[in-house]
Amino acid sequence: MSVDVAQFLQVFLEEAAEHLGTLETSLLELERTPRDAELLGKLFRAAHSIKGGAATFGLPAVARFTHHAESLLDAMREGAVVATAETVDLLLQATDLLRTMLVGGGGDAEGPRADQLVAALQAALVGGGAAVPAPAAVVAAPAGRRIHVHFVPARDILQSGLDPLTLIRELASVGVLEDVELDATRVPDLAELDPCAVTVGWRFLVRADDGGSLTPEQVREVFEFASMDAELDVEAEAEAQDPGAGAAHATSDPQAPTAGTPAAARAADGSIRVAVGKVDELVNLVGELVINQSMVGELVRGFRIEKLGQLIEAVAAMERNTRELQERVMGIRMVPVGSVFQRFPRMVRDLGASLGRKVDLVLIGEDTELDKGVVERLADPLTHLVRNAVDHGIESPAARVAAGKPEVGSLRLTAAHQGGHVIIELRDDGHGLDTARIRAKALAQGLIGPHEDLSEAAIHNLIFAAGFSTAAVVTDISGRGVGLDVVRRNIEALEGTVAIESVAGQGTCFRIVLPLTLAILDGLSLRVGEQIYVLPLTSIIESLRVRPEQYRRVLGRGELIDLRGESIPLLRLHHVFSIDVEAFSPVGRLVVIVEHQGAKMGLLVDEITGQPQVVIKSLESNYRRVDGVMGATILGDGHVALILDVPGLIRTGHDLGKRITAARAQQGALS
Amino acid sequence: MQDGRCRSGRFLGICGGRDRGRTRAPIAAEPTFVPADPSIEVHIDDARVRLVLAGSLGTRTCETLLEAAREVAGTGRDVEVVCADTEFLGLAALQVLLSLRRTCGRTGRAVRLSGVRPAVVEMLAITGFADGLGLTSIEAPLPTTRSGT
Repeated sequence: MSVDVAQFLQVFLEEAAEHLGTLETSLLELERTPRDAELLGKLFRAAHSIKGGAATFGLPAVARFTHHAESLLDAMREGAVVATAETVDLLLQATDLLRTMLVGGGGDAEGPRADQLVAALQAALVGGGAAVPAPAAVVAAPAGRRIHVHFVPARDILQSGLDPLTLIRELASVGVLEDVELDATRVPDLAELDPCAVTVGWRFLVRADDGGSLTPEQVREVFEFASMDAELDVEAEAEAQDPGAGAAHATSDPQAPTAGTPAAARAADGSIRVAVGKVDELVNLVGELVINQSMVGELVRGFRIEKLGQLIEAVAAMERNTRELQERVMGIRMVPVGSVFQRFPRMVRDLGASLGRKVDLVLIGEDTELDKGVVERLADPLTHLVRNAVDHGIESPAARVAAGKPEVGSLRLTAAHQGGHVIIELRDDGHGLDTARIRAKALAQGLIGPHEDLSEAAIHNLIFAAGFSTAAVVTDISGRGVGLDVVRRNIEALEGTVAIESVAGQGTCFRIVLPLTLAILDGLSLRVGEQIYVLPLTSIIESLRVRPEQYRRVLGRGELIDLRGESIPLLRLHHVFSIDVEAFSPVGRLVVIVEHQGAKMGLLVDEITGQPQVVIKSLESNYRRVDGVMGATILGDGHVALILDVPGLIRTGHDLGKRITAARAQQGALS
Repeated sequence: MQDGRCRSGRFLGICGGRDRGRTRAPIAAEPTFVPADPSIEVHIDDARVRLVLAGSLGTRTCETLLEAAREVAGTGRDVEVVCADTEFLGLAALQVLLSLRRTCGRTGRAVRLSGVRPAVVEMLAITGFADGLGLTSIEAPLPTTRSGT
């Protein structure tokens, strides 16, 4: 039986990326605990999995290169080589190269960089005194067809008088064992050991002797007498894989990847691995939906008024199932935020080393799930914030000691669910923001007026302002080429918000609030003129009818309403969307109060028509970007409605209010 | 073992303590291998703790080996497993040695195999146990170091 392994390549690449992540994070841990046996085992298994998978999926260059890293890890696991900063560094470099190779389709292992690393890995292995000479039966040079064998004997096999070791010896006599992996993780401590109960298993990679042939059937025959109650998998690889031939060699399978096939392109297609259980649930729900549909159809076809109750009941059931189906389908898109967090330990380590900072990064809540789209687009802004924190938030060790702080700075990156949102916080214990300097800079740039009375928090928020130059505050706040306004824009593009808290001398905390998903939104539908708009529910504080005493017009600030002592700017959506209406006073009209990053605004509307859950359709991809609009949706009655962008509306409102007021003032139309 | 007398295992004599004698009793070896005189001895002196294995050690001897392993593990010291006269180690015996290594490793103690014969090394290598038992080099067969015979 031949198996087209190419169809699983994408899965392997995703798994390999996870293993590389494991390698990276575990290596960083290993620096702190170089003799941690569990960690070393984890590292070895990750490397071994990459090697095995690469060999199976026709990436011999990757397999061969990984083998060298794996050998060093194995020696470290056995205590023959001790993990040092140098060996960890070397293995991290090997991890980087592996990542590059996998992104590039598994080739490019023959470059000078790979040769250098292989030589260094071998030197580390020999230098550490590890030397397990390959016995005659275990040779390194593969040739011919290879067969993967997974064998876990029955627990009581020894009681039958058959020792599995004799089977392995026989396997070594019918072919050449290229690789042997013993899984002895289940062997208990002496106190609990029953030596007659088998608790080990094996994976072998076996090939035919030179000039000979070996079939999976021959291998199975070896285990014939042990196969009862045993786990035995025997799979042949694709023909003629010669790792020595390098990446330029294609496999015999036309579907299999070659050096010229960029795996990155495959990866870019994007895929999500879904637990079988989740798929089963979907299948069940779809099944129920089909039954619902059939019931409704039946009732409608032979409809009589006395069946109305049944029809209503059937439609209600259909609605329930549809909503559940929708929730579960959305659940499939949820992935752990740890896939983004995983890159930061390495980044912080390298950045700290290059900047002379000592930083202890703590990750919390990596399992918190977010929509895949959000997670992918979160990486850039978060990277920017983490880099900034190390670069400019946390002081040098000397400065920290002088300030009475521990030499090692603390950086905590946490993720947690809160209501319908995910909260991500990045907190450092550095010197915090310099409020006076930010204010001075904002003043110099005309972002604030000289007499503007701003709270400390409001001044801190100025660092997110577009045009807030980083040039003069390089040493205190940012210093990167890209400003924090870009971070804010990226987060807002995810329908999220970012806020900052900072205490001088104690540190800074960036708090990002993100929606769980970008695809579906709970909204409030509003009528303005003849048009229906949808406002995201999360931005709404309350709605009210304006009483006469609440309404004011202030020169230079436009229309305001007074809400429990707070003056809130009023924005007539009719003006924003150029809807022709007769002039009217807002008194007695409906106003919806929205908020974004502490800024509130009242939106004047004609009517609230409902609270729908809507599917967001991109306006930009089908038309163009429109200020104050984040997308469109199709309502239950088939009409198209625009979904309002609250941050954009608040910005627009401030400008529009000022313009209208100024124009009216000029015309003496204020009354 | 602390009273200065030898005690017998189920099949084999196990001796402990300084300059204590040992008793040996033949048992049936594994059917596929040439029977050899299997023996398991524990030697504990001021200098070291040694578990000396000889002959073919298979399923039938594993309980005794387990008992001996528990004893050497209980000393709280590093252990040398002398295999110079070991002709075969079956899976049951290897599980005991692996478990011994793991148990000792948890308290920072080492278990080292010495004098392993090339044939046994090869067997350990093709079965993956060489790694698991920390066999970092193939040592030349050593002369018998049993004492107290």
